[in-house]
Amino acid sequence: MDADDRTREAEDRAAREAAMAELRSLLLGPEQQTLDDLRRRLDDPALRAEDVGAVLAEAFAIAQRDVHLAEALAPTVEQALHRSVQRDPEPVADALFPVMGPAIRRAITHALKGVMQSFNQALEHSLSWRSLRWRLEAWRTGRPFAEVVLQHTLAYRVEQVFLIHRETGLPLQHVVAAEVPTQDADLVSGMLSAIQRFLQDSFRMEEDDRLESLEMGDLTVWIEPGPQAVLACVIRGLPPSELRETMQEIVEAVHRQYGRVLAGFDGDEETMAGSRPLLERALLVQYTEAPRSGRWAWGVLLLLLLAGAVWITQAVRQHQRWDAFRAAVAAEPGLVLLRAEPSGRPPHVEGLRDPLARDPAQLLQAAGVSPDGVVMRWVPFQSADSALVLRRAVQVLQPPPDVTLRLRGTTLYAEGEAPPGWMASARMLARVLPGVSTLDTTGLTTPAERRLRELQARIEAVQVRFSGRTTRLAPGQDAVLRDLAEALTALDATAREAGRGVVVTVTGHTDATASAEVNRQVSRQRAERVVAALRRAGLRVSNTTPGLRIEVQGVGADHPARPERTPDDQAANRRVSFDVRFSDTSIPH
Amino acid sequence: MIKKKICMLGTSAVGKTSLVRRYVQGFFSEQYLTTIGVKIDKKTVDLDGQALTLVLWDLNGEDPFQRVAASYLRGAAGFLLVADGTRRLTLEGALRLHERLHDALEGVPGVLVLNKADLTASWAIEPARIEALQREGWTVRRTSAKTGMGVEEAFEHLARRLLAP
Repeated sequence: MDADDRTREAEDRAAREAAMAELRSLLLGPEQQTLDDLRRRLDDPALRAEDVGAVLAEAFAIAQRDVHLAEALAPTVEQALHRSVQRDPEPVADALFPVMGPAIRRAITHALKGVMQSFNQALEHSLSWRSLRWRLEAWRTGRPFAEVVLQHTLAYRVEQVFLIHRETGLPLQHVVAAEVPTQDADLVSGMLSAIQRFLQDSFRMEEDDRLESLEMGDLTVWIEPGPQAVLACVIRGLPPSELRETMQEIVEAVHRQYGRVLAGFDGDEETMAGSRPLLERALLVQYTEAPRSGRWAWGVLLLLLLAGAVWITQAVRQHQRWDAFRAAVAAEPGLVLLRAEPSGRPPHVEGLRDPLARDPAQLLQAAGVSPDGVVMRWVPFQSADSALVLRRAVQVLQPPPDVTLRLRGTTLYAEGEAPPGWMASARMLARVLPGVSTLDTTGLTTPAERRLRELQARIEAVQVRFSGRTTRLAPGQDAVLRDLAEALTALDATAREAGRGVVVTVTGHTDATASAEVNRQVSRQRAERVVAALRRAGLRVSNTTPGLRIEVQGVGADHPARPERTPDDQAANRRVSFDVRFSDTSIPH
Repeated sequence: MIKKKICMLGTSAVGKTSLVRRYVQGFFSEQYLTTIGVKIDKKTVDLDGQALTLVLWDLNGEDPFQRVAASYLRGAAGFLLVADGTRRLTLEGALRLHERLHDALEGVPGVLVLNKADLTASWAIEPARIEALQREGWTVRRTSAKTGMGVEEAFEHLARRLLAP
């Protein structure tokens, strides 16, 4: 083709286009401008975005009636949220704050309901006759009790759910029911895939023919295939057909939401992390018996709490009682507590006990603990406690009623009136008394000694009176002399009985009116006169030692009874007095 | 965590299962090999801080009475082609097996493993043959499942190739 030909061809084409434009203008008229505007809008991305933005809200409102929009948007929204949290978690946290509280409360309520139901079942399984029968069965068959219970009460339970990549056999996701032992998802997924392919190869099945179920014992594996992924549920018991529908829905949802991820799956399990809630929808469980009302469980729980409160109160009170007993034993002389075990079976108490100490059983009773059923073992010992030393001294020495014993340090003081024989034996016994080093008897007296003192006082109180300056006895002195004679006679007898020598000095006195010589003579005569009168009144004196001896003397006016200022004073000084002296000043103890 | 499916290939009695046993702690009984023709194990390796789980499909050895099922290779990210270095025929058999499974293994990285390297006295693969195989593009590794020599390295080499961009 030469240059002329090409020029002609170009001219023809331009003429044709002009003709076509004219034809379009004739046919379309004013619409031509509209079409041009539309083409321009479609070619301009900014204008296109503007158009979409104008109708987007309305479009979402229409599309939200269909679940597919939510499923399609979910990965994008999740990704956007993930990136937002990574960049700055605060805006999302602020947005979620109002819903977190109610969500947490709802979760706690749900968990408590679960606990209550488990508790109810546990009670039922622990306390009922049926549970006893199942325990017997478990014992007879050698299987765990929980397994027997599950066998009798479980209709079915989906224990594990695997989502397996169809091409590689790798696990995409794996969820497990609570308290179910898990296997390695990688290996189980691989073997399930291998089994599937083995069956296809071995029995020359078509590619679309899939293994749908495996059964062994009470375990069933249901397999639901999808184009890219396979869902496998490990089920204990007999599953209902509805479960198969649930599995199909899950497989469809997985493919809708993760279709692109599955198609390009390179082994990164993180890309399927969001599919977990989908699989958890298949973790279904159904019991053959509907769970019973929780009222019974609450009632039993309340009873248990009440029983617990009563038990704790009693335990505290019992503890306090035993503390009181320990304190009482510690305060009691002669008791040493070595061990007290109230919680023993039976409770028992061990310690040391002085035979003179109080009975520990009484202390236990006083503390509020019944001694019945409490085993007590008390090893005897002698306590050095002063109260018990004194008690032991009283027990051993057996003092007469008038004797009082007191202990100061290790010295035992005896006070009061006791026979000489008791004193002698007390001195001997005191040497072997534990806790006593010395027996002090200086505070003791004998009955004879007391009698001697009484007689001494009685005799020395007597004053025999005389008439004028004579040696004649004043009127009324006879009775005095008779009484005095009796006292002296008794003194003689008591002195002899006590082995004491007694000297009674009869002393004559005068007033000071006469000369000293005269007074001395008169006073002696007065004394002799009284002695003679005493003998006449019946006085008999042994004049032996031991025994009574009488001496006579006259002292004139040397020892007046009172100063002489009046005649009465003179009359009072005319007298005979008596002085009793024991020849041995120390009273034998 | 990244996971990859690896297949162990080779003729019978070249030591595939022994290599796997040396490399991993087993989970399934080896009876699976004689029943459905495959046993699956796994091993997680750390490659410069990147954790990678190798899911090992130990396929039964091919011989005149049983063939390796090509369907088991679907989705494999890599393979180890194992031969007995003391029996030249097992190397040729392995290469024939690879050729037969070419469609399933096309584009899949693999390592040619010459096992039983501890039996030096009866070693039957000439260096020239190995060099020729390397020129053909094979990565060749000498291993001994008995002593452990080269086993970790062979698997690690394959693992690194799987993670290579």
